[in-house]
Amino acid sequence: MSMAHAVAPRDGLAWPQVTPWFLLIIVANSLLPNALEVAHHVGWLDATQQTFGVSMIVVAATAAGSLLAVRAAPRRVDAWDWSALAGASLLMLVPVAAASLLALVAFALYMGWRDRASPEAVAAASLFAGLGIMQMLIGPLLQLFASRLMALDAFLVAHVLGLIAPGVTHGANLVDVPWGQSLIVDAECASVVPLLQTLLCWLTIARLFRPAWRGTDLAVVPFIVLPVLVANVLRMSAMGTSPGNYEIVHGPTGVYAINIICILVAIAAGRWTLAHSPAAHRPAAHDPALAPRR
Amino acid sequence: MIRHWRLAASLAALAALTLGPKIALHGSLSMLDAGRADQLRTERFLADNGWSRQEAIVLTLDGSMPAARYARAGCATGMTVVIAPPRADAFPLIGALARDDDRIVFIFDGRALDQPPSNTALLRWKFARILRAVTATGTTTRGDASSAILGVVVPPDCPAARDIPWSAA
Repeated sequence: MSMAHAVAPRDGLAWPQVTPWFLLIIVANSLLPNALEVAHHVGWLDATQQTFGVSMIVVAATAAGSLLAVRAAPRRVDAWDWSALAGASLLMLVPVAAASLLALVAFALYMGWRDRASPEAVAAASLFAGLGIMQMLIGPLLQLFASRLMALDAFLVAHVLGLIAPGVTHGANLVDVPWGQSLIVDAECASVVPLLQTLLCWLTIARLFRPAWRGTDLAVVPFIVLPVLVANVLRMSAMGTSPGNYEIVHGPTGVYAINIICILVAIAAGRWTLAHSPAAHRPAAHDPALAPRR
Repeated sequence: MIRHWRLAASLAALAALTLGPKIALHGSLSMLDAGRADQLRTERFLADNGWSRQEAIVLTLDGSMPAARYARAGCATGMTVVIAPPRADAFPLIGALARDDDRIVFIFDGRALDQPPSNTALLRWKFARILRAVTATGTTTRGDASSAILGVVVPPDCPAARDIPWSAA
């Protein structure tokens, strides 16, 4: 990436000088309350493994998004930008993380729309908007509306355990295992959580190494969903085989295992995405020096 | 790299102004403390109404949904009271405790309901809490009088359960 992109206009403040720092403040406001809560109970090291809000994937996505925002095409900050900054700041003043999440998504969408000619700005906006939306899905929205998703998990787990021995029943998000460990699929264990983590990890890899979106990028999504869903259902099924296995698989060992699987799936999907995007297709309209010569 | 000191100062002030209240709110009461407070409040309420705690029931291995059986004259077999987080995924577990002829009462937001609160009711309640947090400076968004749902499983031979003034719980 040419460093020329980071040079500010001489007669004013450059937008890419403001956005990375401002976005970092919004992210901190969005994630800090939950991060402090979890770290208070389990410590920071375990919190990075057990909580989406402070996971390494979120940290990596935030860092990549900030880097891309710095590299966005420079332009002067105008009145619309100041309005967007003021609106997001007001939302951040509300002492509830959900308001900051809303500010994050809204500001990222504004940034992506205003600088839609700059692939780096759109990529940064995609990452931050994706991060905010995923946090909303995993937080209040999942707790309220994901009963059916958790019931689907329970259905799949009951059928996997039914292959081992008969007598397993399920209802709503409960799995009754007479010969093993009965389970309740809650919002934290539902497959949608590692699934969103993996999607964010893939998005981070894809956008960091090739900021410009292509229509075919989303074709890889089903190949992310399937292995992560299978891995998480197998993990929950292993929990149900016995109380001892529950302790192991539900604890740090199981968490590390599912995290590693998610990251490997994301890396494989990211490589596939990048491999199907030759460098020659990369738009360079905002920097004539990088445009192909005819 | 931030080149303008005024920009740097503004961003630092914004970070302090917005993060400060959130950190202060966190310090006021943790979620674990709030759960324990719910448990103590429920036990005190039932004791005040003549119910004695018989046994604790382990529903979840991590103790996230404390439950106990309570009995008094007119309810010898006892009723089961579960303190659950206000989340839809907790309701089936409460339902699973009931036998065919048992009645389940959900105590939510000062009301006794025969059905679990709907998603709309939960969402409205969450918005109300957010509004309270915004309008009452220094008041935590967690741990106030209605931070949990009580699921009460009442057997048929427990007429005393009808006399409990749940709206005061």
